Amino acid sequence: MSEIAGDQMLISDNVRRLFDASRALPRARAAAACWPDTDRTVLREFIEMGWLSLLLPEDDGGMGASAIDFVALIESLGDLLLPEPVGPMLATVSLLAACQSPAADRLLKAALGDERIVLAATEADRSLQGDTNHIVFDAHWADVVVFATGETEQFSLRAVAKIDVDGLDALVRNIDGGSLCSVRLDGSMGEELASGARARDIFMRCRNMQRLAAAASLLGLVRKSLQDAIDYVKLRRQFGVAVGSFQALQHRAATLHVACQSARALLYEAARTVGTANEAVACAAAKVKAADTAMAVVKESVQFHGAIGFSDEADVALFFRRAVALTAAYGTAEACHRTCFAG
Amino acid sequence: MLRSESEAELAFRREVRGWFERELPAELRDLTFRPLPDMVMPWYRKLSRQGWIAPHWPRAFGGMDASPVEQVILMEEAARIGAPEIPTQGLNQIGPILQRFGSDAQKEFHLPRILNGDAIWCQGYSEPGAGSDLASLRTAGSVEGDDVVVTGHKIWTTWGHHADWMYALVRTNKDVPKREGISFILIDMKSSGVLRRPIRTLADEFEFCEVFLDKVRVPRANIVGELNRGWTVATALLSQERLILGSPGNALRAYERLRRLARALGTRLSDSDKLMIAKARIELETLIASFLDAAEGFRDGRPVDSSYLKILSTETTQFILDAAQTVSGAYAGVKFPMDVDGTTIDFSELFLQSRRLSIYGGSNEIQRDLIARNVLAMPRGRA
Ligand SMILES: Cc1cc2nc3c(=O)[nH]c(=O)nc-3n(C[C@H](O)[C@H](O)[C@H](O)COP(=O)(O)OP(=O)(O)OC[C@H]3O[C@@H](n4cnc5c(N)ncnc54)[C@H](O)[C@@H]3O)c2cc1C
Repeated sequence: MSEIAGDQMLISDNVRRLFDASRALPRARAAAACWPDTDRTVLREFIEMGWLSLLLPEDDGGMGASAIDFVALIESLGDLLLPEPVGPMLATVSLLAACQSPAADRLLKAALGDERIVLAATEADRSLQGDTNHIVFDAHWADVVVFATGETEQFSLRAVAKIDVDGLDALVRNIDGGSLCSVRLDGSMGEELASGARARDIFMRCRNMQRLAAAASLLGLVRKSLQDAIDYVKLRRQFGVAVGSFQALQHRAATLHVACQSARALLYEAARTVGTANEAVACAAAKVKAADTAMAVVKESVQFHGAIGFSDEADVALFFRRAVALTAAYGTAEACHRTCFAG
Repeated sequence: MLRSESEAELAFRREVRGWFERELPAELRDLTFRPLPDMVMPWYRKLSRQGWIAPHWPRAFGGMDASPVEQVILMEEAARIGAPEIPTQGLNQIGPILQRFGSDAQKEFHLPRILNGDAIWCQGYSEPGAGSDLASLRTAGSVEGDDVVVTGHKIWTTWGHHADWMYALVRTNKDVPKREGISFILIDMKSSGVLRRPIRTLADEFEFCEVFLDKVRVPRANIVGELNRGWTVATALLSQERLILGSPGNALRAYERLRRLARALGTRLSDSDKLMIAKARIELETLIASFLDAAEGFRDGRPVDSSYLKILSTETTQFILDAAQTVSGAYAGVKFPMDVDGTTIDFSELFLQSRRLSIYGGSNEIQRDLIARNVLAMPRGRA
């Protein structure tokens, strides 16, 4: 298994410190309790320190990080269950930089300067609310939403301010304290950032990076969740022995280990394909694999804990709910399967 | 249910459906959460007056003595109309045990109160240190004159904070092998020394609680069976519990949720959604067939492999709700019920709830252990 490299570790350590890793889970709990949580204090610091330019080329004053660096960072933050949509923001910022249009540049400056939080509605996924046609995840953080309309020549990549979109304040609450929002977005709204085939490529890259980010978060959180479950069954004694000594549990832990390791290998393999012909398929596959693995792990974590795993007091409840929400967000199984089939 | 119904069974179904449609108030239909006593007990009492509250109880005790097919009809019709979940500890657990082991006085006092809904019961078995290994329980009872004085700590007590009575296991003799020093006792939750603290669950509600018992005085007459012979009573109850846990009621409710979601999605349903729903149907019918097979066997005097049914029914319910999660797509993590084209859809609550099914009533790991050893006669291996 590829371990993360030295400078990736450095990045991750710094960002984890910034988000105060030791207090992350109480914070995740609080964020879910006083919903919607949009306290920007830490996020502002993250932006002020320049982290949003992580994926921008060094020539443009960015940090020139690769997709692999990106995945390593997001994975390493997974167990913190951050309320802030760090991965999707980073992906959207690189979308803005890639557009190279005055409108996109203005927005990029505002985003890097911490004035506006820009998120992209990359999944025009099956919406269940009225005639809405886009789903915006983490909508409660967004000031501006990037979206796409039209096909081929008519393809238009656009940005619209939250206040100009009907319904972007009608948040739907997720079980982990996150949100989603279904809205109707069309070509008459906001301003164009780019158009045509090039815009489509830029947009697809952003979608793929968001899928990667979701996969990375999922695998980061389940690594912790699986470890917690294993630690628990080593300690918990019934029938005079640790319940972790029962082969029934050992084999299942081993099965989950296989799933986690292989899903992680696929995740990093997908990160390596960014910029190549297989990017879309790889990122879609990585998301599905990570989500399936994550759901298997969190269900078993609950089961391994017994009744205490079904209580809200145990951290496993937090991991469980985040895994459900992240599985649903940024590429459903169905959407990703379609990408894989087409690619 | 795939089986074709006799004229009498069809008539029974029509009667049940008509009555549910007339009598179940709209505000109690298709609830996306488990209603609290104030809300649900009036419905419980109505079912009781109709004579349908205890389908599986013998007539002699006020039950229906319903056939397995009639039981399934009742469950299907309850699921179809979206009837709320009612408390079942009295009906499914302590009721049948009292019928078998209770004194005349216990039967006379408690059975009618279970039937008419005057008493809500909870099960006081598990303790912080005694889960799967129930026999290691430590809550202690000492006989003092006509009372047993009980001190200890029960936990994960479903609806303990709403219950009027608890049936509990307490250790009344510490000097004998574990299973020989346990008594089965009925505790009035209004007794002094009973303290309850609700516990929040994964699904963000208060399904269970912990119960602290501090020198609670319980009349000796509340012991079921003999002093120190409670383990026999308790284990008889456990296999009864699993037979009930093996009923398709939960799975039917889950499948109805899935169907409701499918109806709301309408033309937005994809082919892969339809495949998921078809698979869920196959699992459901497998469960119903197995329940009928086991319950009819039981009626004819065959022994019931209750562990098999417990595993099957709980994992079928989980499978159906997993399918619903997949069909929900981007909405799978939505916390509160949401309106979808005029239908209120719960995306996550029942799914979260379903995770408990494989833990309680003897975890599914323990059930597999029992099958391997008792049914398949496999040797006891290394831990
Ligand atoms: C929603 C809910 C409601 C409940 N309601 C009640 C109630 O009303 N009254 C009551 O008394 N109790 C209740 N319980 C408690 C329930 O009976 C226990 O949770 C159950 O017996 C398991 O015990 P435990 O939680 O201590 O888990 P543990 O016994 O600590 O088990 C931990 C894990 O180890 C596994 N394990 C244990 N032994 C073995 C073995 N030999 N082989 C393989 N695996 C093993 C278990 O399956 C589990 O996965 C409830 C539980 C839940 C979740």
